[in-house]
Amino acid sequence: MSNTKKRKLPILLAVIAIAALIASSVGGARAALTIKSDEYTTQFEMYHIGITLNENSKPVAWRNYKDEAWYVDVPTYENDRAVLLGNLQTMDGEPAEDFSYGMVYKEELSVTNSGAIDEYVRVTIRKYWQDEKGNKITALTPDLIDLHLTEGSGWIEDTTLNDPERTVLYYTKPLKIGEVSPLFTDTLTVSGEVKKHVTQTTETKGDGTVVVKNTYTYDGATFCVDVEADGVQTHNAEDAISSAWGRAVTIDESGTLSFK
Amino acid sequence: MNRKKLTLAIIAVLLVLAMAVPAAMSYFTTYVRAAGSRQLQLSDETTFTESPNDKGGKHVVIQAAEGSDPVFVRVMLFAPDEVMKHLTVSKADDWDGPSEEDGILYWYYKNPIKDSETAEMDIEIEVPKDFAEDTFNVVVVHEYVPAQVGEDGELFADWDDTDLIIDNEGESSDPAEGADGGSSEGDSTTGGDTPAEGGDGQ
Repeated sequence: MSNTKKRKLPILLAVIAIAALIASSVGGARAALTIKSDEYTTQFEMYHIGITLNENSKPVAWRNYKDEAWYVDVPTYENDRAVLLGNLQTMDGEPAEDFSYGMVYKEELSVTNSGAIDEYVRVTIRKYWQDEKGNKITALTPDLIDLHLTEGSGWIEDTTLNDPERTVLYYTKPLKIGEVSPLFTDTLTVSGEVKKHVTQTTETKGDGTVVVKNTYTYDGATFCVDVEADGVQTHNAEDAISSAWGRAVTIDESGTLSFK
Repeated sequence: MNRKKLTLAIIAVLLVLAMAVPAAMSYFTTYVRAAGSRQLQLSDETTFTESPNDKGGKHVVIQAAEGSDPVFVRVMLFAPDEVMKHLTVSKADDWDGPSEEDGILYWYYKNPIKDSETAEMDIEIEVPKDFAEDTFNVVVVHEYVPAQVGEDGELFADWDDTDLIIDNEGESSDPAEGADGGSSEGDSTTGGDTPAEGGDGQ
């Protein structure tokens, strides 16, 4: 055998090996397609993920992936955002005409898995005050905005992220396709204590008339509630949650989520 | 040769990065967001006036300012003990009292007043003929608290927790520095209703 042939032999063998490898994988894929072609379509459909936020049993916003596109919609928009508190209800479920501090309103928030795969969900609640120009007023305390969290409903607080303005909750169970989560809030109350932050003036006029006036710190302030719901796949959930939400969690054999 | 190795190393690194990127983005996620808000309008003001009536006493009017939120009002009466024994309040159906708290007699107007509504009271005095003093004062002080809203929407007065938090440029001060135990208190209007002034003729 000549030297040239000797040099070409390994290359030839490598080409044959690669060709054989490609041929074998194609064959396998074809075989799989032939045998499991019906299931292949089903698997594709399963990768649709979606989430819906509900207020008092009605969807207020959703974001679903389907047919390779995101479907995002809400019943009502305000400043390009889905609207919460648009239809305030009393605890009897009746429409509330005016908003009154101190009064307890029904504010039942939950999440629906509106996708086509199971998912883990979390919600982030923000409460704060704004002035008439839309600027955040940090001097006013969010504590007076009581969006009451439910207890024993399967939602747990991520206390590492909580602050007076923000609350982050994780639902500990995977949410099945079409399943509605337990409520994570049930009522909304703005404390009557807003009436105790006051500057008081007393004026006695010449005729003896006494005028007392209270000027309230919270007068004209707008309280805001902002809720974001997130969903992530259950497959390889620990890595997915760590990657997508930056939170280390443990998923046990029953699928129950807990914080590390 | 070194250049080739360097090129191969760069390509290898890029390939590794390229493999890592799709892995990081390969998780299926979704999110949705909604927000709501409500503006608070808080305002209350009262005006206290009194005038002599034809029964030797006073006619007291407490009026909520136009547009004022609902408030609950009460009045305190101060006078010598002998006078207090002979003091009556008309329109008593509208008031609860007197109730003594810490030695002070209070009358509470039963309903909240708002938006130009008034709470009125007539104070009548029948001074005994053997009253030793020539003159005396009946002092009327009014206080009010903003109406609180109960969980059921009913209005109520919280006279027991009336410590105000006086805000100064957004910073809350010690509640103990609130205004005189809390409730909005009008300058006490010195009575000055001596029997002579009230026409009692003593």
